Amino acid sequence: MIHSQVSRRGFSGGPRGGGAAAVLGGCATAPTAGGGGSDSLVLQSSLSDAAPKAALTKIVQGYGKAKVTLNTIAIESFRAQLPTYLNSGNPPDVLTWYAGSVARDYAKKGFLLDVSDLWKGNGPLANYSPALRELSSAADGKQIFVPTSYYWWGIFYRKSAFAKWGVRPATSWTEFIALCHTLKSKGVNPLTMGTGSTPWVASGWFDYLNLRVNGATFHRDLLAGKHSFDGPEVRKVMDYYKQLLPFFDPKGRVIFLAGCRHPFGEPERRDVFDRCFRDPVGAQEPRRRHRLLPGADHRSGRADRRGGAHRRVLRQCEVAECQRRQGFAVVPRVAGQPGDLYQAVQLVEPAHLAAGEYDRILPARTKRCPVAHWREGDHPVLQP
Amino acid sequence: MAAQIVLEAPPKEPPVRPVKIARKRRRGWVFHAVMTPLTLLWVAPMLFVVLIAVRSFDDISARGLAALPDSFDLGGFVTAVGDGGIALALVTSAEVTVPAVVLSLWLASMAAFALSRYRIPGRRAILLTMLAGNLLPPQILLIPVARISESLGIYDSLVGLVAIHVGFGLGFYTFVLHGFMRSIPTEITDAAKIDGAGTVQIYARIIMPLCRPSLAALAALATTWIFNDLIWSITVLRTQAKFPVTAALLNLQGGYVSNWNVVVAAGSILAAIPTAIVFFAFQRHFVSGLLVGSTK
Amino acid sequence: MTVALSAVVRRRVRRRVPWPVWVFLLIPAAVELGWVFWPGINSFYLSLTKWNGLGAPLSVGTKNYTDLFADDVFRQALGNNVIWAIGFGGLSVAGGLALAVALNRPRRGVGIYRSAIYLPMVFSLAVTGLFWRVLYQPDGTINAALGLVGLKSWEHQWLADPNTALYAVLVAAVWRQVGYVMVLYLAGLKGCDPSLDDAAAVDGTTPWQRFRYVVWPQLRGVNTVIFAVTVIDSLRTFDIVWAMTQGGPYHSSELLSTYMFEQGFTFLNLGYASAIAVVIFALAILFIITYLVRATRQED
Repeated sequence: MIHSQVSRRGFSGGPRGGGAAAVLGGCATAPTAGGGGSDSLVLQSSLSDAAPKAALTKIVQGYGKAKVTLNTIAIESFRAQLPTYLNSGNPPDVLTWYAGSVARDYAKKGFLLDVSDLWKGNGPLANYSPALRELSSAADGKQIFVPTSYYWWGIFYRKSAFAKWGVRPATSWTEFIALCHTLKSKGVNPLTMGTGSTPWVASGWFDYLNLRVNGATFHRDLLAGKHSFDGPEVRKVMDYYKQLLPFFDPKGRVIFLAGCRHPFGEPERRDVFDRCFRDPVGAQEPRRRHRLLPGADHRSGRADRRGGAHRRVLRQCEVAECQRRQGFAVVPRVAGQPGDLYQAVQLVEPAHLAAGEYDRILPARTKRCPVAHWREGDHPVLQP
Repeated sequence: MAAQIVLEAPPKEPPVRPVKIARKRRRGWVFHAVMTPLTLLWVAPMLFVVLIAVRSFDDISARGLAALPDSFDLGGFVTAVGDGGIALALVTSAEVTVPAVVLSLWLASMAAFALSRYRIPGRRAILLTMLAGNLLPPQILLIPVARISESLGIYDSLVGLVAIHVGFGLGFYTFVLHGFMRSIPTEITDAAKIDGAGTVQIYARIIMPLCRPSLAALAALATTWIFNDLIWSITVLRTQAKFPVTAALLNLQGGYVSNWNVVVAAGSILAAIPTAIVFFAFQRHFVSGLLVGSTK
Repeated sequence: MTVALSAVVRRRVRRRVPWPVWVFLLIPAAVELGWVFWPGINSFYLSLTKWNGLGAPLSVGTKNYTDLFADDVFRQALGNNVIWAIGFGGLSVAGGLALAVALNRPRRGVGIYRSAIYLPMVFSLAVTGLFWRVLYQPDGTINAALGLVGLKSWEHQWLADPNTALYAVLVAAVWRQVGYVMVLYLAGLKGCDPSLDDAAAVDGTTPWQRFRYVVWPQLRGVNTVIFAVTVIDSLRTFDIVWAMTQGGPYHSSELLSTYMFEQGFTFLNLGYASAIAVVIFALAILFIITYLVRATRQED
């Protein structure tokens, strides 16, 4: 929930309902925008999925004083056009983007405005976690972002399916692998990898494992380019990765995310699916679905305590900067039926990962992504 | 008018003898036996899209894409037209396509006229250079083009979009029209010159009417291209309400979840209707006109 | 009109180019110059820089080009592009020509066949890519159809397998292009003199001989246009690959255009992307100019 008004150059009259925007939304206004901007504003958004789009539309309609034009542009086009938007003589007043090095670079060049007043004193964002604050800050320490949501990357399972198979969620790596074996022996492909049209999703698994195998500090340093991707630590991660390879649903690598059929057949299952998509925590209460901002749980690093319906076997509470899209693309699920996938994909043939090709599938930008708020010891599951 | 008569003359059937007729009939049977399955194969993907378009979302999600329809539901079309704004986008597309086609063919015909009928120094080099312009990959022109339209004050306007379509199509249209105009006998224009016709009159009264079949065919092609364009419209336009149909279609497709029946199926069928109409309306000209001149 | 008079007139008429003709030429030329060549020059300049789209480009000389030739992905894309040009160009020209010849003479049902084959052309490339992606899905129509006719073992993850992805996309692209080439050839065949063909038939030649020695030479002009269109299209193919595989898996269906787009707009290496574009342009020019200069010289 956005607690109070986000006001900036006439962008006032707070959204009361909350929205399902799933990225760290950028609030950027260009310094060159004319003074006439007070009665009309342009919000350039890349959230073209039905739910976030509907939520944003609702927010926009809630503005009384200023006429807000919402332009929703599919992300591929949006990303290609972003430099043009920013460079234009009359740039959009607010736009959605991802926190990270690209945004910082834009801020450094003066294309994004300082919104740190929202983060101070009684500002609506003042109570956000230091981690989010850091992610939303430019190199000079000023905030350039208004985060609108964050989400976890995790592994999900379906309770009814587990009940049917008579298995229980794993609580350690050994159990996890054993569980995968059990499911495999029942003719189920236990895992699906959400590598979409871009292979970065496979790096989600890598991040996931690396954080647990080598810890947060190492992960941050690795991404900052301080360690080699060919070093013994990373090789160790790949050993874990390799253990997972037999369990990935071979079909799961094929379907394009945006192109796949609806993963859950019956309405009951679809409901679960929608929930996962909107809030990967799988919170059952509808009001939590559109949680825009992290609360106290996040600060304490106990994000996994929220939402009991779908307990995650492994969990990751990370607003990774390298998540170029609003994700859920890597919500690998334990268990499902073949063809029951909602993420999937082309691209990563796990064998290639094991064969040492991992440096190639990690996009260059990942190396620049510090994982700002990871805490050592938060996730002991993997620690051998 | 001699040229035109030749162009539209139907191919003559040779006189046939009884033996030949029998053989022909047999060959006719073989012809249909090959062509019918081939045509069905060609149409199958489109039929499949139509089938998806009329299935309900629940049917698709429960039974998979490949299943035969279990439901009949035009909801996909309703969503595409309503929420998706495809109806509005189709109007925008027409507003862009019509002026862009007319303008580019007009300008191209002028250039082709000058290059084909007059001894302009270096005319072949000019023609090939204009065609070469079409070889530039559009993707890389995106940012410079956006900058230029910005500096001309036509960024984010349909005028800008029309202008870029005209500029980018000119080379090819000029090339094709040039081939056609060369084939028009010089005697026709020479006679007009003796009668005192000026350059503009020759262009407007003689050459252009003779080029009608070729222009019609090019118009149909250009319509297909411009109407189906995606990359330029997302480059020079920023406001969603101004998006033509291809760009609107792209936006209908969410980043992560996609309703096949709405987006790809219903939306693309709607978007294809205008180009299909244009093609079938011009089909006669297509076959009678395009490129005929350049074969001579 | 006597021959002598005609020659005199022609000489007089051609001596000088009237000024409106220059206007006729200069307006379109200026439009193309402004919208195509000027941005083109801009991107050539960008290919000598390092630039992320904002701020001032940083000049790096020819580094982008030297990097390019050391870049595995670029080489792979180049190789794929050769396969693509041969496959896409060859198949669509061969298919289009065969269909045009088959459907040239008026017969019952010819109109329907022609329309059906042309129909895919009315869909945009991006849309074509979108729905072929559905066809190719693991539980999509193609696999279902294979299973239906008892070829279950052929079922395959067409777009996910690096060995088949490029060809899977190629099939979709050819499917759409064949109708287009067919229409161009139909137009060309219509311009052929049928009496020549008939005369040859009376002389007892085989259909193949008639095609090869009577019809084919008459198609020279159409061939020039089709060659130009095919080279342009195969080097510029982008939408359909992007919609179907985005160049993956493992760059196995990467073409120069998709690689350029990825570099330019996913990684914001606009300088490097511009260098790829310059290479594409140079290749296209090389093909087209060699061919066209020869073709137009023959005509003069």
